[in-house]
Amino acid sequence: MEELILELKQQIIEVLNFEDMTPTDIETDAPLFGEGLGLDSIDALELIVLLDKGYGIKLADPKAGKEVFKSVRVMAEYIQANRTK
Amino acid sequence: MNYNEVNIRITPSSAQMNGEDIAWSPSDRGILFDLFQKYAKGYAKFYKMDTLSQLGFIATEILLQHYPLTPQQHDECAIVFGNSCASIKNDRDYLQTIIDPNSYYPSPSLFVYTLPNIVTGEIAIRHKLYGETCFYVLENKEQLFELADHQLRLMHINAALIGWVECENENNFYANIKLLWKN
Repeated sequence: MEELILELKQQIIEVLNFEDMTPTDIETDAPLFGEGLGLDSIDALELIVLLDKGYGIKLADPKAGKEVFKSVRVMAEYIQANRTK
Repeated sequence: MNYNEVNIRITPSSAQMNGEDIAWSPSDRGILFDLFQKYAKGYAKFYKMDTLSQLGFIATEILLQHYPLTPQQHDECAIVFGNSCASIKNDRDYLQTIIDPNSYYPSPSLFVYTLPNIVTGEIAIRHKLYGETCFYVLENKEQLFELADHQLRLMHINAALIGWVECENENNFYANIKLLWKN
């Protein structure tokens, strides 16, 4: 799980262009939206693409995204349980 | 009434304000990033912009840091920008995300910049400018400046950013932005 969490942080930094950040700057349990990383709606769409492209997970229901994107740890747990690649 | 005027020009190898060179520390990241590091470091949204928006953003940033607007000018300042190739650089980048049927993952963050007028929005948000904004696709900058001059006088606009902001690719771009205001 820790390996997946690190991989996920690296991917988030890359796809969301957080140029000045390193994986250690992202807290595993901090909220991704709102007071945490402060992501916006376009970032949420990029995360949906990341799940599809990287792990073969199609997130059709936007309401599910609200749960899945609570934190990096929640995302990693969801990926582990649902990945197809 | 005549307008006061200052201007900035940026190319891949130079930056000038009112004809004078702007000093910056060149790195291998390119002039837009280098100017950003000097003038707007900390505004993380810059990293997410397409090159056209980065170009217009940093040029305006430098201009308005040297010539700050009054609160009233912020309320009235119009943005009239134009170029001849719209958002072609970003359009090509976006195309790469959808061209392969076996790897069809349209990028939302690239898609949002597939309109050239987004650069005017980025600038209006950053500097809280509440005047009219528009972006024209024209053959050359003379047409834009003529059109903008006509609009300013017709609409009695007191302050405006008028800019030719062109970006064909990361090695070929040009910005010439003027700040005009009445006393």
